[in-house]
Amino acid sequence: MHALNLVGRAFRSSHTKIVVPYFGLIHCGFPSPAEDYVLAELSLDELIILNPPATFMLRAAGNSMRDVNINAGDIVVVDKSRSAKHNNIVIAVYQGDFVCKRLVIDRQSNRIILQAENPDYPSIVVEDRDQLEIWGVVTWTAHCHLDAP
Amino acid sequence: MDSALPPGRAMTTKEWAEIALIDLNNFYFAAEAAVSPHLQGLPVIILSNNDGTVISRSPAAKALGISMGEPAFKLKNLIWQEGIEVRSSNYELYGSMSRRFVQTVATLVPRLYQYSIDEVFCDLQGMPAPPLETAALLRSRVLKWIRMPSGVGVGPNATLAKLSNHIAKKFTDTGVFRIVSAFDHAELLSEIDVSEIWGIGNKIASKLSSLGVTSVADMLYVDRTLIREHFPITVQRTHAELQGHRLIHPWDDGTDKQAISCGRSFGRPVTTLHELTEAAAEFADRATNKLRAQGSVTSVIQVYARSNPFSAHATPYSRSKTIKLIRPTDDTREITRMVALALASIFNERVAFTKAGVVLLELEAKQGIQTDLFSAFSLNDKTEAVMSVYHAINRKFGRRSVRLGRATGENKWTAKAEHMSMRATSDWHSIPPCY
Repeated sequence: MHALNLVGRAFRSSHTKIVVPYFGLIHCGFPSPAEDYVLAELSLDELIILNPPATFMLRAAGNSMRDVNINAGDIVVVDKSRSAKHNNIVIAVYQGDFVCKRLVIDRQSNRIILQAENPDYPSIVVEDRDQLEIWGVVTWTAHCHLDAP
Repeated sequence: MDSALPPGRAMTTKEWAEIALIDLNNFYFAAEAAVSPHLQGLPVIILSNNDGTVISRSPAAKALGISMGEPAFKLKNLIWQEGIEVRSSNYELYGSMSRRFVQTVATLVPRLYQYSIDEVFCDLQGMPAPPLETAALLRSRVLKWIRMPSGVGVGPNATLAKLSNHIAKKFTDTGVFRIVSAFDHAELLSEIDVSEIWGIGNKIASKLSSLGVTSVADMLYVDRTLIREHFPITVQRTHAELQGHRLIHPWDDGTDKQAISCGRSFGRPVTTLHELTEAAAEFADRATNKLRAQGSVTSVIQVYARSNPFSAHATPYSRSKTIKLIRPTDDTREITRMVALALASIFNERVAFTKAGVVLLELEAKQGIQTDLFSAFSLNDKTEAVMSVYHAINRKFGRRSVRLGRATGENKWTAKAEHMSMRATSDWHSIPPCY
């Protein structure tokens, strides 16, 4: 049943070390009943990167979004393929920089507000909508809880 | 149909009858600007390996009259006066953006062929939407998902798709154009120089113009016998494609599954990048010899290196790096340089390497390789001359009589890249900040 096939020959290299060709693991005992499930491992990529070609990672560089638990140093996952909607956390381009803010569309004044989620930081009121580029939608953030990562 | 057509490929199941070519604008610049928004609108130039010459320009840099291939040192004053942003080529970023580009296109069209780092041919046959609608969707999706502008040309064959692409970029606001028959656009085509036709290089263009063929329209209407009398089969094919026949199938040529592999286990563990590079350079040399012997060129180079997988002392380490070339090559110098770059990215100073190797992939016949787009700074006549002398000497006096110089000392061979941008998509320490 579980025969061991000769898959390669050990040979002596010019030095004294024995070199054995490597062909992966060969089972000789009873096959594991879990073998068929070997691929079913949790993948963070699969969970967080919803659309790989359009997903980019940024790093939070301030605490303007502290109240939605985005802190300086966190990884910010951005999906550029999504259309930004009212109330989404977005990445916008403001004065040449990426800013992470909540997108608030004020229907009455037809203005866009890039709202900080920390009272110590100002929100950005966008007067000219044509000048605003919403770069992508924030889908996830990652925060490290070790003292010195 | 004319039975005396130049011989082309027989109809195959791979026949594509409605072809779109999507081509990114100012690819290297666009890749930089996609992840560095402050570059938008500024004059920016991207320099070749070693910061030698200009290989990409932002629209604002073009407007300043900077041309492709211009040596960087000649631009010193202009850079200072105009505040031009200078970038060294950041191939990790470009490779990443190119992959994302192809993946994005692949979400819309089932059959595609990546022709170069920034060009993809798509088969639109059987698509649910009309060709121009699909073209516009492709363009807007690529712009939104990876923030890179492009032009999309649609045509009944590769040559007309290329020509449509040129028109889409130069003559439209929408960035999309479709040619059903070139004869429908005679007036427009009379404004386009014959050298803009895919496969018509400068030499052929000047010969054509001496025969009175200066515009694309001239070429379209010129008598076939004149072309046959004066030009090789490749030009005859291009002429027939312009008239709507289907003879050139890049997507059929490039999918060769052959590969050339060269590598071995080391007698003793190798721990320095210098030694590893030396070894890999030899593998690159041998692999390229095989490549040239069969008259092929490669466009994908893979380098791998690993430690002893059975070591009791260290965790096994095994990495490989694949580099897609901008254009196919059989130049030992270019391949060796790429191998060295790839190796540097997988090298780890804490690892004792016991095996490494080089694999050349996506081989295709050297004949029929396009030589216009990147020839200014890559495979050209001079390269050809140098490399045939190199290989002739080695054939005559034995392999490795002449070798490529590899500087010793770990820093010397590293390409000069003083203005490198961050590896925004491939290094956790380099991801852009958001405020």
